[in-house]
Amino acid sequence: MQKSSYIRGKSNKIKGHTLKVYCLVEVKDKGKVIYSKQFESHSFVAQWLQLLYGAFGRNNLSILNNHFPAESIDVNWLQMNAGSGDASFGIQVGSGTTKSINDTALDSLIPNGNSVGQLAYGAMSFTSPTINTTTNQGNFSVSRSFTNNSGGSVTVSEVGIVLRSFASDTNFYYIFIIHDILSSPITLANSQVLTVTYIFSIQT
Amino acid sequence: MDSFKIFVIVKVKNPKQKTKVYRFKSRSFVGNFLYILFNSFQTNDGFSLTQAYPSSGSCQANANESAAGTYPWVTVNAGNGDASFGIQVGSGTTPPTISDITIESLIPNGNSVGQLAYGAMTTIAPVINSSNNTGYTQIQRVFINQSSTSITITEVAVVAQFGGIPCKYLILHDLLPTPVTLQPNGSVTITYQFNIAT
Repeated sequence: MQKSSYIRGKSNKIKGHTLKVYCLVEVKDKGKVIYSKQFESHSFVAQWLQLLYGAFGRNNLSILNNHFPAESIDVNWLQMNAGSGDASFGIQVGSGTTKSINDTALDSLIPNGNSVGQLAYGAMSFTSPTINTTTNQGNFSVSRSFTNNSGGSVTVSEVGIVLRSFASDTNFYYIFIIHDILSSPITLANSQVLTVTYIFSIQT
Repeated sequence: MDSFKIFVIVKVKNPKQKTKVYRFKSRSFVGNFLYILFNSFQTNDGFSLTQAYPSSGSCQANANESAAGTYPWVTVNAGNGDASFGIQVGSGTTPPTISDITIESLIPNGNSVGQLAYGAMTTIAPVINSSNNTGYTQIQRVFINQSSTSITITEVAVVAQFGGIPCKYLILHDLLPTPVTLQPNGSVTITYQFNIAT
Protein backbone atom coordinates (compact mmCIF):
# COMPACT_ATOMS: atom_id res chain seq x y z
CA MET A 1 0.00 0.00 0.00
CA GLN A 2 1.22 3.44 -0.84
CA LYS A 3 1.90 5.80 2.02
CA SER A 4 0.39 9.22 2.06
CA SER A 5 2.28 12.34 2.86
CA TYR A 6 0.52 15.49 3.96
CA ILE A 7 2.06 18.71 2.83
CA ARG A 8 0.64 22.00 3.87
CA GLY A 9 1.28 24.07 0.77
CA LYS A 10 2.45 27.62 1.04
CA SER A 11 -0.16 30.15 0.11
CA ASN A 12 0.03 31.92 -3.19
CA LYS A 13 2.10 35.04 -3.04
CA ILE A 14 -0.85 36.99 -4.35
CA LYS A 15 -2.40 38.85 -1.46
CA GLY A 16 -6.11 38.64 -1.10
CA HIS A 17 -8.98 37.20 0.83
CA THR A 18 -11.76 34.85 -0.04
CA LEU A 19 -14.88 36.58 1.14
CA LYS A 20 -14.99 38.92 4.07
CA VAL A 21 -18.07 40.48 5.55
CA TYR A 22 -17.93 43.70 7.52
CA CYS A 23 -20.65 45.23 9.66
CA LEU A 24 -21.08 48.96 10.13
CA VAL A 25 -23.44 50.21 12.84
CA GLU A 26 -24.32 53.86 12.95
CA VAL A 27 -26.67 55.86 15.19
CA LYS A 28 -28.22 59.15 14.17
CA ASP A 29 -29.94 61.63 16.40
CA LYS A 30 -31.91 64.34 14.60
CA GLY A 31 -30.02 63.49 11.41
CA LYS A 32 -26.58 63.79 12.99
CA VAL A 33 -24.31 60.74 13.37
CA ILE A 34 -23.56 60.30 17.06
CA TYR A 35 -22.08 56.79 16.97
CA SER A 36 -20.34 54.75 14.30
CA LYS A 37 -18.45 51.51 14.50
CA GLN A 38 -17.31 49.01 11.87
CA PHE A 39 -16.12 45.49 12.62
CA GLU A 40 -15.47 42.30 10.73
CA SER A 41 -18.40 39.94 10.93
CA HIS A 42 -17.30 36.67 12.44
CA SER A 43 -20.42 34.75 12.27
CA PHE A 44 -21.59 32.90 9.28
CA VAL A 45 -23.70 30.11 10.77
CA ALA A 46 -24.36 26.54 9.70
CA GLN A 47 -27.37 27.34 7.52
CA TRP A 48 -25.02 29.25 5.20
CA LEU A 49 -23.03 26.06 4.65
CA GLN A 50 -26.22 24.07 4.16
CA LEU A 51 -27.36 26.58 1.61
CA LEU A 52 -24.08 26.29 -0.30
CA TYR A 53 -24.26 22.50 -0.14
CA GLY A 54 -27.82 22.48 -1.45
CA ALA A 55 -26.98 24.88 -4.24
CA PHE A 56 -23.73 23.26 -5.35
CA GLY A 57 -25.21 19.81 -5.79
CA ARG A 58 -28.92 20.59 -6.08
CA ASN A 59 -29.20 18.65 -2.87
CA ASN A 60 -32.45 18.63 -0.95
CA LEU A 61 -32.32 20.50 2.32
CA SER A 62 -34.35 19.99 5.46
CA ILE A 63 -34.36 23.76 5.96
CA LEU A 64 -36.27 23.98 2.67
CA ASN A 65 -38.72 21.22 3.54
CA ASN A 66 -36.51 18.74 1.67
CA HIS A 67 -36.39 20.66 -1.56
CA PHE A 68 -33.28 22.15 -3.02
CA PRO A 69 -32.64 25.87 -3.35
CA ALA A 70 -34.32 27.59 -6.26
CA GLU A 71 -36.70 24.72 -6.97
CA SER A 72 -39.78 26.74 -7.60
CA ILE A 73 -42.48 27.90 -9.94
CA ASP A 74 -41.46 31.50 -9.46
CA VAL A 75 -37.83 31.49 -8.65
CA ASN A 76 -36.42 34.03 -6.28
CA TRP A 77 -33.29 32.47 -5.01
CA LEU A 78 -32.15 34.21 -1.90
CA GLN A 79 -34.13 37.31 -1.22
CA MET A 80 -32.94 39.92 1.21
CA ASN A 81 -35.07 42.77 -0.10
CA ALA A 82 -37.55 43.02 2.76
CA GLY A 83 -39.82 46.02 2.67
CA SER A 84 -40.56 48.60 5.32
CA GLY A 85 -42.06 47.05 8.43
CA ASP A 86 -41.20 43.48 7.43
CA ALA A 87 -39.00 41.98 10.13
CA SER A 88 -39.28 38.43 8.81
CA PHE A 89 -36.14 38.63 6.67
CA GLY A 90 -33.30 40.90 5.64
CA ILE A 91 -31.18 42.49 8.35
CA GLN A 92 -32.62 41.99 11.83
CA VAL A 93 -31.66 43.35 15.24
CA GLY A 94 -32.11 41.83 18.65
CA SER A 95 -31.37 42.03 22.34
CA GLY A 96 -29.68 38.66 22.82
CA THR A 97 -26.10 38.15 23.88
CA THR A 98 -25.23 34.61 22.83
CA LYS A 99 -24.56 32.90 19.52
CA SER A 100 -23.48 29.53 18.16
CA ILE A 101 -22.89 27.88 14.80
CA ASN A 102 -26.26 26.10 15.04
CA ASP A 103 -28.29 29.26 15.43
CA THR A 104 -31.33 29.45 13.20
CA ALA A 105 -32.51 32.86 14.39
CA LEU A 106 -31.43 35.80 16.49
CA ASP A 107 -31.29 35.10 20.19
CA SER A 108 -34.04 37.61 20.91
CA LEU A 109 -35.52 39.50 17.96
CA ILE A 110 -36.63 43.09 18.51
CA PRO A 111 -39.94 43.13 16.63
CA ASN A 112 -41.10 45.75 14.17
CA GLY A 113 -43.38 48.40 15.61
CA ASN A 114 -43.71 51.62 17.53
CA SER A 115 -44.54 50.21 20.95
CA VAL A 116 -42.33 49.66 23.96
CA GLY A 117 -39.44 47.33 23.10
CA GLN A 118 -39.99 47.65 19.37
CA LEU A 119 -38.22 49.37 16.49
CA ALA A 120 -39.63 50.51 13.16
CA TYR A 121 -37.88 48.48 10.47
CA GLY A 122 -37.08 50.42 7.30
CA ALA A 123 -36.90 48.84 3.85
CA MET A 124 -33.68 47.07 2.94
CA SER A 125 -31.41 49.11 0.69
CA PHE A 126 -28.64 47.95 -1.59
CA THR A 127 -25.47 49.50 -2.96
CA SER A 128 -24.39 47.93 -6.24
CA PRO A 129 -21.08 46.08 -6.56
CA THR A 130 -17.95 48.10 -7.09
CA ILE A 131 -15.17 46.25 -8.87
CA ASN A 132 -11.66 47.70 -8.86
CA THR A 133 -9.66 45.97 -11.57
CA THR A 134 -6.45 47.66 -10.43
CA THR A 135 -6.54 46.27 -6.91
CA ASN A 136 -8.67 43.22 -7.80
CA GLN A 137 -11.01 44.16 -4.98
CA GLY A 138 -14.77 44.24 -5.09
CA ASN A 139 -17.60 44.83 -2.67
CA PHE A 140 -21.27 45.58 -2.29
CA SER A 141 -23.34 46.47 0.71
CA VAL A 142 -26.82 45.97 2.10
CA SER A 143 -28.27 48.11 4.83
CA ARG A 144 -31.35 48.79 6.89
CA SER A 145 -32.45 51.50 9.28
CA PHE A 146 -34.29 50.97 12.55
CA THR A 147 -36.12 53.89 14.14
CA ASN A 148 -37.06 54.05 17.77
CA ASN A 149 -40.60 55.45 17.92
CA SER A 150 -41.41 53.64 21.14
CA GLY A 151 -41.25 56.59 23.50
CA GLY A 152 -38.59 54.85 25.60
CA SER A 153 -35.10 53.52 25.04
CA VAL A 154 -34.37 50.26 23.21
CA THR A 155 -31.05 48.42 23.46
CA VAL A 156 -29.63 46.49 20.50
CA SER A 157 -26.95 43.90 21.25
CA GLU A 158 -27.08 41.54 18.25
CA VAL A 159 -27.55 41.78 14.48
CA GLY A 160 -28.09 39.17 11.79
CA ILE A 161 -29.21 38.41 8.26
CA VAL A 162 -32.09 36.19 7.18
CA LEU A 163 -32.62 35.22 3.52
CA ARG A 164 -35.99 34.24 2.10
CA SER A 165 -36.20 31.51 -0.52
CA PHE A 166 -38.90 29.64 -2.38
CA ALA A 167 -39.15 25.93 -2.87
CA SER A 168 -41.44 23.94 -5.14
CA ASP A 169 -44.26 23.75 -2.66
CA THR A 170 -44.51 27.54 -3.16
CA ASN A 171 -43.88 28.27 0.48
CA PHE A 172 -41.36 30.77 1.71
CA TYR A 173 -38.42 29.48 3.68
CA TYR A 174 -36.20 31.57 5.89
CA ILE A 175 -32.51 30.91 6.07
CA PHE A 176 -30.45 32.50 8.83
CA ILE A 177 -26.92 33.03 7.51
CA ILE A 178 -25.10 35.59 9.67
CA HIS A 179 -25.21 36.32 13.39
CA ASP A 180 -23.09 38.91 15.17
CA ILE A 181 -23.04 40.02 18.78
CA LEU A 182 -22.12 43.68 19.21
CA SER A 183 -19.06 44.20 21.38
CA SER A 184 -20.87 47.14 22.99
CA PRO A 185 -24.67 47.15 23.07
CA ILE A 186 -26.26 50.26 21.58
CA THR A 187 -29.04 51.99 23.47
CA LEU A 188 -31.31 54.00 21.22
CA ALA A 189 -33.16 56.87 22.80
CA ASN A 190 -36.59 57.73 21.50
CA SER A 191 -36.48 59.05 17.89
CA GLN A 192 -32.91 57.91 17.30
CA VAL A 193 -32.16 55.83 14.22
CA LEU A 194 -29.81 52.87 13.99
CA THR A 195 -28.51 51.90 10.54
CA VAL A 196 -26.86 48.51 10.11
CA THR A 197 -24.80 47.94 6.95
CA TYR A 198 -23.23 44.66 5.91
CA ILE A 199 -20.42 44.93 3.38
CA PHE A 200 -19.52 41.84 1.34
CA SER A 201 -15.96 42.06 0.06
CA ILE A 202 -13.74 39.90 -2.13
CA GLN A 203 -10.17 40.33 -3.23
CA THR A 204 -8.84 38.12 -5.99
CA MET B 1 -10.27 33.91 12.97
CA ASP B 2 -11.82 34.44 9.55
CA SER B 3 -15.55 33.84 9.42
CA PHE B 4 -15.35 32.27 5.98
CA LYS B 5 -12.38 30.55 4.37
CA ILE B 6 -11.91 28.28 1.39
CA PHE B 7 -9.18 25.69 1.14
CA VAL B 8 -8.13 23.81 -1.96
CA ILE B 9 -6.95 20.29 -1.24
CA VAL B 10 -4.98 18.59 -3.99
CA LYS B 11 -4.45 14.84 -3.70
CA VAL B 12 -2.03 13.40 -6.26
CA LYS B 13 -1.62 9.72 -7.01
CA ASN B 14 1.05 8.72 -9.49
CA PRO B 15 1.98 5.13 -10.25
CA LYS B 16 4.76 3.79 -8.03
CA GLN B 17 4.88 6.97 -5.96
CA LYS B 18 3.60 8.01 -2.57
CA THR B 19 0.27 9.77 -2.58
CA LYS B 20 0.83 13.45 -1.97
CA VAL B 21 -1.71 15.85 -0.50
CA TYR B 22 -1.33 19.60 -0.70
CA ARG B 23 -3.61 22.12 0.91
CA PHE B 24 -3.67 25.85 0.36
CA LYS B 25 -5.98 28.73 1.00
CA SER B 26 -8.07 29.83 -1.95
CA ARG B 27 -8.05 33.56 -2.31
CA SER B 28 -9.84 34.01 -5.51
CA PHE B 29 -13.55 34.53 -5.73
CA VAL B 30 -13.96 36.54 -8.91
CA GLY B 31 -16.34 39.39 -9.67
CA ASN B 32 -19.09 37.18 -11.08
CA PHE B 33 -19.66 35.67 -7.65
CA LEU B 34 -20.14 39.07 -6.12
CA TYR B 35 -22.66 39.99 -8.82
CA ILE B 36 -24.58 36.74 -8.33
CA LEU B 37 -24.79 37.29 -4.57
CA PHE B 38 -25.82 40.90 -4.90
CA ASN B 39 -28.46 40.37 -7.56
CA SER B 40 -29.87 37.37 -5.75
CA PHE B 41 -30.17 39.36 -2.52
CA GLN B 42 -31.86 42.23 -4.31
CA THR B 43 -33.99 39.89 -6.48
CA ASN B 44 -33.13 41.64 -9.72
CA ASP B 45 -34.97 40.65 -12.89
CA GLY B 46 -32.02 40.83 -15.23
CA PHE B 47 -28.36 41.73 -15.05
CA SER B 48 -25.20 41.32 -17.07
CA LEU B 49 -22.69 38.60 -16.40
CA THR B 50 -20.13 37.36 -18.86
CA GLN B 51 -20.35 33.64 -19.09
CA ALA B 52 -17.66 30.99 -19.29
CA TYR B 53 -19.94 28.76 -21.39
CA PRO B 54 -21.04 29.01 -24.07
CA SER B 55 -17.98 30.94 -25.17
CA SER B 56 -19.94 33.06 -27.61
CA GLY B 57 -23.40 34.57 -27.72
CA SER B 58 -25.10 36.34 -24.89
CA CYS B 59 -26.78 35.25 -21.73
CA GLN B 60 -29.20 37.14 -19.58
CA ALA B 61 -28.65 36.30 -15.96
CA ASN B 62 -31.78 36.57 -13.90
CA ALA B 63 -32.38 36.41 -10.18
CA ASN B 64 -36.14 36.63 -10.43
CA GLU B 65 -37.31 33.96 -12.84
CA SER B 66 -41.00 33.95 -13.60
CA ALA B 67 -41.23 31.03 -16.01
CA ALA B 68 -42.22 27.59 -14.79
CA GLY B 69 -39.36 25.29 -14.07
CA THR B 70 -36.53 24.68 -11.71
CA TYR B 71 -33.33 26.62 -11.86
CA PRO B 72 -29.88 26.23 -10.45
CA TRP B 73 -28.21 28.69 -8.10
CA VAL B 74 -24.40 28.32 -8.27
CA THR B 75 -24.81 24.65 -9.06
CA VAL B 76 -21.65 22.71 -9.83
CA ASN B 77 -22.90 19.12 -10.17
CA ALA B 78 -21.35 18.36 -13.56
CA GLY B 79 -21.43 14.76 -14.65
CA ASN B 80 -18.69 12.42 -15.73
CA GLY B 81 -16.81 13.83 -18.73
CA ASP B 82 -18.48 17.25 -18.59
CA ALA B 83 -15.72 19.85 -18.42
CA SER B 84 -18.03 22.80 -19.05
CA PHE B 85 -18.67 23.42 -15.36
CA GLY B 86 -17.87 22.25 -11.87
CA ILE B 87 -14.20 22.09 -10.88
CA GLN B 88 -11.87 22.60 -13.83
CA VAL B 89 -8.12 22.28 -14.17
CA GLY B 90 -5.80 24.14 -16.50
CA SER B 91 -2.27 24.93 -17.52
CA GLY B 92 -2.31 28.72 -17.26
CA THR B 93 0.15 30.58 -15.08
CA THR B 94 -1.16 34.13 -15.01
CA PRO B 95 -2.29 35.23 -11.53
CA PRO B 96 -6.09 35.34 -11.33
CA THR B 97 -7.80 38.69 -11.56
CA ILE B 98 -11.20 39.81 -10.36
CA SER B 99 -12.33 40.19 -13.97
CA ASP B 100 -11.57 36.61 -15.02
CA ILE B 101 -14.47 34.89 -16.76
CA THR B 102 -12.76 31.61 -17.64
CA ILE B 103 -9.85 29.53 -16.50
CA GLU B 104 -6.80 30.71 -18.46
CA SER B 105 -5.99 27.51 -20.33
CA LEU B 106 -8.48 24.68 -19.76
CA ILE B 107 -7.21 21.13 -19.91
CA PRO B 108 -10.07 19.49 -21.80
CA ASN B 109 -11.81 16.25 -20.96
CA GLY B 110 -10.57 13.20 -22.84
CA ASN B 111 -8.04 10.44 -23.05
CA SER B 112 -5.68 11.92 -25.61
CA VAL B 113 -2.41 13.77 -25.14
CA GLY B 114 -2.97 17.00 -23.23
CA GLN B 115 -6.33 15.86 -21.90
CA LEU B 116 -7.62 14.49 -18.60
CA ALA B 117 -10.66 12.33 -17.92
CA TYR B 118 -13.04 14.43 -15.78
CA GLY B 119 -14.97 12.47 -13.16
CA ALA B 120 -18.41 13.43 -11.90
CA MET B 121 -18.59 16.19 -9.32
CA THR B 122 -19.23 15.17 -5.74
CA THR B 123 -20.73 17.38 -3.04
CA ILE B 124 -20.13 16.52 0.58
CA ALA B 125 -22.70 17.48 3.19
CA PRO B 126 -21.75 20.02 5.84
CA VAL B 127 -19.82 18.79 8.85
CA ILE B 128 -20.60 20.93 11.88
CA ASN B 129 -18.57 20.93 15.08
CA SER B 130 -20.78 22.43 17.75
CA SER B 131 -18.02 22.32 20.34
CA ASN B 132 -15.79 24.82 18.63
CA ASN B 133 -18.42 26.41 16.37
CA THR B 134 -16.70 25.50 13.11
CA GLY B 135 -17.97 23.74 10.04
CA TYR B 136 -17.29 22.98 6.42
CA THR B 137 -18.76 21.60 3.24
CA GLN B 138 -16.81 20.29 0.24
CA ILE B 139 -17.05 19.87 -3.51
CA GLN B 140 -14.72 17.45 -5.20
CA ARG B 141 -13.67 16.06 -8.56
CA VAL B 142 -11.22 13.40 -9.75
CA PHE B 143 -9.13 13.84 -12.91
CA ILE B 144 -7.32 10.87 -14.44
CA ASN B 145 -4.52 10.95 -16.97
CA GLN B 146 -5.45 8.22 -19.42
CA SER B 147 -3.13 9.52 -22.10
CA SER B 148 0.31 8.18 -22.91
CA THR B 149 2.23 11.23 -21.71
CA SER B 150 2.48 13.21 -18.50
CA ILE B 151 0.46 16.40 -18.06
CA THR B 152 1.00 19.33 -15.71
CA ILE B 153 -1.75 21.24 -13.87
CA THR B 154 -1.02 24.78 -12.74
CA GLU B 155 -4.46 26.30 -12.13
CA VAL B 156 -7.87 25.26 -10.81
CA ALA B 157 -11.25 26.90 -11.03
CA VAL B 158 -14.94 26.50 -10.27
CA VAL B 159 -17.60 27.25 -12.87
CA ALA B 160 -21.23 27.29 -11.74
CA GLN B 161 -24.64 27.21 -13.38
CA PHE B 162 -26.97 30.02 -12.53
CA GLY B 163 -30.47 30.77 -13.76
CA GLY B 164 -32.82 29.32 -16.30
CA ILE B 165 -30.61 29.82 -19.33
CA PRO B 166 -27.90 27.19 -19.63
CA CYS B 167 -25.05 29.59 -19.12
CA LYS B 168 -22.19 28.91 -16.77
CA TYR B 169 -20.07 31.36 -14.87
CA LEU B 170 -16.60 31.33 -13.36
CA ILE B 171 -16.80 31.98 -9.61
CA LEU B 172 -13.41 30.85 -8.28
CA HIS B 173 -9.97 30.80 -9.88
CA ASP B 174 -6.70 29.82 -8.21
CA LEU B 175 -3.14 29.11 -9.23
CA LEU B 176 -1.58 26.08 -7.59
CA PRO B 177 1.36 27.06 -5.36
CA THR B 178 3.19 24.08 -6.83
CA PRO B 179 2.33 22.67 -10.28
CA VAL B 180 1.17 19.07 -10.24
CA THR B 181 2.43 16.64 -12.87
CA LEU B 182 0.37 13.56 -13.55
CA GLN B 183 2.06 10.61 -15.16
CA PRO B 184 0.08 8.25 -17.39
CA ASN B 185 -2.51 6.50 -15.21
CA GLY B 186 -1.96 9.06 -12.49
CA SER B 187 -4.87 10.89 -10.92
CA VAL B 188 -5.55 14.04 -8.96
CA THR B 189 -8.50 14.81 -6.71
CA ILE B 190 -9.27 18.49 -6.32
CA THR B 191 -11.39 19.45 -3.31
CA TYR B 192 -12.71 22.91 -2.54
CA GLN B 193 -13.52 23.10 1.16
CA PHE B 194 -15.72 25.96 2.37
CA ASN B 195 -15.13 26.66 6.06
CA ILE B 196 -16.94 28.83 8.54
CA ALA B 197 -16.11 29.75 12.12
CA THR B 198 -18.87 31.34 14.17
